[in-house]
Amino acid sequence: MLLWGAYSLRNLWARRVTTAFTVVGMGLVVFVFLAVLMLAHGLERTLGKTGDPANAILLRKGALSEIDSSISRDHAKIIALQSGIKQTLEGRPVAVSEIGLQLTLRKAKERSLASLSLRGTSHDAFAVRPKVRLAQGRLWEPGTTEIVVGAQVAKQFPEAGLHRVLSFGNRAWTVVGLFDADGSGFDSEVWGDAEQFMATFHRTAFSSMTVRLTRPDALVQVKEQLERDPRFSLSVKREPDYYEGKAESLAKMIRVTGLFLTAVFSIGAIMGATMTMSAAVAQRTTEIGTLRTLGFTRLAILQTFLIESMALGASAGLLGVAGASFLQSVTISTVNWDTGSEIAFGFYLSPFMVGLALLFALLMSMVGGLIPATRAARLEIVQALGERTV
Amino acid sequence: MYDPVVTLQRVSKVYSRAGTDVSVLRNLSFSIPAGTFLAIMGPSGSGKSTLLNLMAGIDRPTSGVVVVAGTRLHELSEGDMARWRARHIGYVFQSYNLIPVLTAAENVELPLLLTHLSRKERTDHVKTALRLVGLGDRMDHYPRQLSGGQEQRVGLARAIVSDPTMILADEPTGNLDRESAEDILTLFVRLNRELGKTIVMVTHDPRAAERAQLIRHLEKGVLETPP
Amino acid sequence: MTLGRLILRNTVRRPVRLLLTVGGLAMVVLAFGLIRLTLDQWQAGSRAALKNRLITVHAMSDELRLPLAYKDRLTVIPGARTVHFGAVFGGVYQDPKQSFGSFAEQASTFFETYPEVVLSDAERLAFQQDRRGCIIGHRLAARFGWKVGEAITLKGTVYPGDWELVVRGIFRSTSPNVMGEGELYLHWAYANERLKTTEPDRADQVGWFVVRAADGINGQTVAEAIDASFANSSAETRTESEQAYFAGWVARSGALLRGLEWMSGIINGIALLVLVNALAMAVRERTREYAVIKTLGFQPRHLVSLVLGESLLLALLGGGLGLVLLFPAAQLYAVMTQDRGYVSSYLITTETIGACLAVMLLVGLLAAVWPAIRLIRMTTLEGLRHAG
Repeated sequence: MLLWGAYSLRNLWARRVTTAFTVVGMGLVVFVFLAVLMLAHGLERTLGKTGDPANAILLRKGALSEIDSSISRDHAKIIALQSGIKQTLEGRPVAVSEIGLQLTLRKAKERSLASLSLRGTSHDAFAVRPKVRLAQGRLWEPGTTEIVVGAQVAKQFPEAGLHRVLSFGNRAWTVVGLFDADGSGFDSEVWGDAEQFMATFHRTAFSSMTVRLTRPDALVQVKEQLERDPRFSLSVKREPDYYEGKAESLAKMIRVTGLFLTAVFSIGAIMGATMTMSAAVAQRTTEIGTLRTLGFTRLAILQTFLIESMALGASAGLLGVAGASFLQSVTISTVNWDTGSEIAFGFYLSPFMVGLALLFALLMSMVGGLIPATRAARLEIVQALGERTV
Repeated sequence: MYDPVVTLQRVSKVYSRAGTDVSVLRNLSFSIPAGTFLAIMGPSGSGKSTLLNLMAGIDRPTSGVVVVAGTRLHELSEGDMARWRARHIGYVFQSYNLIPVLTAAENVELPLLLTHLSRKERTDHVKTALRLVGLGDRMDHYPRQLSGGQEQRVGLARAIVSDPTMILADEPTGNLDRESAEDILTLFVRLNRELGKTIVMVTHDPRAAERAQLIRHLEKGVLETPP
Repeated sequence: MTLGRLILRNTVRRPVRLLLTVGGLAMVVLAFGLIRLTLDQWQAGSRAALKNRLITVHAMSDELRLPLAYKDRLTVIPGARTVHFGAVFGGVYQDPKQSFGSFAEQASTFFETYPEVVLSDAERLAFQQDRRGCIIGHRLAARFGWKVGEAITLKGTVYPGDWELVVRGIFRSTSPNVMGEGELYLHWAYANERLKTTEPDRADQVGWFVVRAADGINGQTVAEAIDASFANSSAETRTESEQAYFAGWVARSGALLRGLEWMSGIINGIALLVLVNALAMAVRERTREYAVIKTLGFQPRHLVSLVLGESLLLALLGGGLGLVLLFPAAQLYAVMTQDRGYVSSYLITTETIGACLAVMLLVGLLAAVWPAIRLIRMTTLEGLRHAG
């Protein structure tokens, strides 16, 4: 069997130019396949990390996002005291009332418009979301127009970097700190004092509340109490569930478009592999006849050509994976159609996806090699020896 | 009319194979008068095909001068050589080398695409050439539908259709049975006698060589003087 | 006979390989076509938009609204012909996941502002006279099976509550990239009236004004005049031509567009490899024949034209087949991305077809380079000795 493998590999080497074309062609298909998976997965990961399963988010009933939602100050105070919501040792509820807004910004370099997500909040936000921590500078002073920005905002919008001043609503806003939200969607947000944002955007109510639950399964209880209470007209969701739903169109677009296209041109690659293997069979017809005369079975012939084909696939798979691994350092920043604001996410590669890509490459090459290999195995000895080429 | 058609002066050919130099032709000088049907004989490896290829302009000598149809071949560029070949040389291969996807007539027509003949003239020439070799009724057959002898006759028609100065044949009967071989040789003799064509044929078959006007033996790269 | 015939015969010589090559290329063209289509659709909106239609929105944020009172000030701006306004309505029918665009618009100026809307005069009148009336694009009507005269109930997200509307017309659009055919339009006045009781704070506000500049007036001048007149107010405006406005949104998806462009580049690389591979195999097999042709006196350029001809023929066959397949595939693609898809329709334009063919022509040319160079370099003798 070892010898048999060597025979296949040497034949590939003998036709190395054709082999190279086929491998690179299939490798590109694997690359695109993987890139699409990585991007969709990166987006989902960013959103999936946004929010904590131990938190619940409260919105006005019927509102699909923070933009449509409102919760009055009075209600916010009462709601925070509900049972099932965690309290600090001093007896203060671990809850934060926030206002989600969007700011239209002209990017200095590209001169194009972009929407930044603003979150008017309080320092309690960091107690509710322990994974978000200040990375540089300091927090805003309550009651001032100081702001802190997420790691991706600082990267994508140089004009919103540390110590820079943004101006909107006829006021100047100084960036005094950068926070790191562990790769989650919060990294694409700007946080500041809720009252200052509300005044600037002429709002009188909060748009949402995020509360830390005593236990993750306290959600049912809190949901029950609050959604039934006629005073509030609220809907309660687990925080990560809410954020994950916020980029559905984008994730779907990446998946559907990407995989549809991958499917289409993987057929092209299979045809390419078939062509290469057909030529290999045609070229070696006499050789096949000789091998059969020497006593090799049809099965052995079939195996040789399948091994050859799958060696092509394996190389293509490795090539594609190698190429795709370079994408890991790339971050994409684009508008999220569901919210209209900018979101940044990267290409994320997991061992499972590597396995999937290799399997995909092997499958393509196996399907591609099957017909030529079968044809080779079916050749009659006399006929094979008699013809120089098919 | 060029006379002599071929003149070789001190022609040598050295091939280097796997690092060692193999001398195939040594200091060869001779000429072929117009209208000659010459057979060059010799065992395999004697350099007779090399000699033919030098005359056909598809190979170049290591040293020496080859003048064919009044042209000093070593002075031609690759492109001029091809143009010269189209004008002066008709080549007959041992294994016919017909283009499998073209019919007999189309194969014969191929060299005429390099001339300025009209389509009508080309068709006339093709018909004439094929009739001459006795295949007037096989015009639309593909090579795989023809016997070996018929294929070689198409090859011959292709060689003469553009009315070249000289016909060169490399073992033209090498792949044929006796009877077909005789047919081909008879055609060569007719071309030579009736149309005055200069023909150089390389062969190792004495019976084929006998049909030529003149036989020369090539032994170890040296041409023997005729007896 | 001509060399063309030899090219043709060579091309069809190995039917299986021909099929695989053309099939492979067709798939690649298909994928390329779908990407072009997606990109074209995105950009088509901004190209087809009317230049003299200006959109005024809140400068600070896309989601902030402008006071209705701005309307009077807009009307007196020199060069402004008509002033229309609207807002996102955000209606949900049954399942929030089955969303579609719904907009509250000033009914009296709607048709004048959007001449793209194709609707009979009777239906126009019926819509304008019924405060609870709405008009819907024919694709939306088909999606939910709605008929004219039918009452439908939407749940409001931006305008809270349940809304009973009556379908007064089903329209088509002369320019679906600008005025989509999958949306719903209702009376802003009706939506606003209810809001006055439920959320008075948010009442009497609009999402945008659409100002049509008078003929012969530079839209840019009018836009600047509008923004200047609201400068330093509590709600500053940003006014752009509809074209620039759409282009701005497209630019915000720039990273994705670039990703798609990259992908289309890679796809062409695949096409090139498939074709080069096929040609290289063919040329290697026929080395001897090419040598014979050379012996007959043909020039290297003749051989190049044989290979190039075959390459172009294959590329165009593949391109042609790919384009034929593009039509049903675009339909399928549209269905798969429809619901929440950003792209409203997959119309195959002459530009898409042109791009596909141009790219295949280029691929055909490039693919021939390497095999042709090999042929030129091959000496006649080597070729004749080739075992094939």
